[in-house]
Amino acid sequence: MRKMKCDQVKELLYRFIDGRTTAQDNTFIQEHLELCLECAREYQIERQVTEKLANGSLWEEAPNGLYETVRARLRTEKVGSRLFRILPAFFRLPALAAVTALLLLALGVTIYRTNGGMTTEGLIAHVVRDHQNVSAKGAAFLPVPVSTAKMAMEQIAGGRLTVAQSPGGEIEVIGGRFCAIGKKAKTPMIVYRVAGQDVSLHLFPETVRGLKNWEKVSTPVGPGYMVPVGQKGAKALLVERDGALSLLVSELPEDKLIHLASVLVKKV
Amino acid sequence: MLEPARKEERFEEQLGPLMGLLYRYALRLTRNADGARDLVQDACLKAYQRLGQLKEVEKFRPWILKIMYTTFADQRRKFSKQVDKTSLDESFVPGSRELKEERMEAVANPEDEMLRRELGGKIKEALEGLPEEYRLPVFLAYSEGLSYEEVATALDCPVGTVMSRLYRGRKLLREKLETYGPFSQ
Repeated sequence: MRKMKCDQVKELLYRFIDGRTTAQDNTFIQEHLELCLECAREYQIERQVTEKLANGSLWEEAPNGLYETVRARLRTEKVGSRLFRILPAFFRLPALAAVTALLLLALGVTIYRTNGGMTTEGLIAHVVRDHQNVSAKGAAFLPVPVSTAKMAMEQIAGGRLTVAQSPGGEIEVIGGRFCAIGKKAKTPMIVYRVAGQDVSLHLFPETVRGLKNWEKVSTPVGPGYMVPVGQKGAKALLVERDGALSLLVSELPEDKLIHLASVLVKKV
Repeated sequence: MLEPARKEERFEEQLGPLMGLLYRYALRLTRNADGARDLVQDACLKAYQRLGQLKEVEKFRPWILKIMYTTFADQRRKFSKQVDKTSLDESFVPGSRELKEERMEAVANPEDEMLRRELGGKIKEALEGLPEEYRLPVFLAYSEGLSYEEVATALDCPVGTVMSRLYRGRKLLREKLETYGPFSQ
């Protein structure tokens, strides 16, 4: 009758514990364990280790709110993908970006001249400078054209175009982008116009990570956070308002950023 | 073929019960809490985008684990090209530094110190010290209860490879445990 040696049993021990040995091998292994004290001890120890590994109290639970955060990101994805499908095709063809620009111009939207080499920080500074210039005219913020937003997003890995729906149900795609907060976090930023009113920038607060590491500041319109943007020392200001974080991204000095926040938020 | 709305519901139904597993697996990959949270979100989003590729709902669990693993591998490749020592965002720094900091915090906590001395604590520490190619299959198979086949799907390798890694991983685990002192039951 076949008998197993110790080294054969030890080789199969884990699979025996896992229930992955054949019925025949099970018989030989069990016979051996009844006769060999050393292998029997090994079996007991390995069984104990297996049970401890499976002990749920050793391991971490998902942090509170993680599932809700994931669902919030999925909702953003669902809105974006559904509406993107129904957008006119010319929004999606890079070759027709010029047509897009002309149409936006006809709607009274400022077109930003950009070239392929414009950095994220340069684009942001461009937008903010224009905002300063037009704020006196009553516009809170000027939208980023679709083509420009797309170019900015291509410079940031993982960026995508998103849309938003106003409380009144009207939707207009202006642009969207990911802005790198810090080095690796990617936060969707939506820029949209609501039925001819001033545009708004919003972050979904549940997508903002690293919040606790940011410097808190006081602004005329509420608490805010100063965060580094990109890798060249630019800073962004986020202001809390109605449960959302309104984002300003700029290379301006801190005191001018805070002033800009007060101008922007009042207009929105 | 499910209608889009129904498919989304089914996706969230499948996802909910797996959040603990996804987070724990992400911790084993990234070795830090912030990185794990980011990875879970990124992987779930990718899984949602690729939902059409999933043919059998019964394989959702290993399928999404595989997406998480490949997402992490892609991010790690990109990160290794973009190391910036002046970065202020350290929530996604793979490597041993974060793990050492976590361990230091654990030792400073008396309750954790007790746990460390107990077998369970020793096992957890020994597992964390395994090389990734053994740590991941041992964790998935023994701590999370995946079958060999599910582990193979999650790690995108043959079942035979899983079995040999489990064998080698368990041996290494045992060797590490022995260094903590004689094994007492």
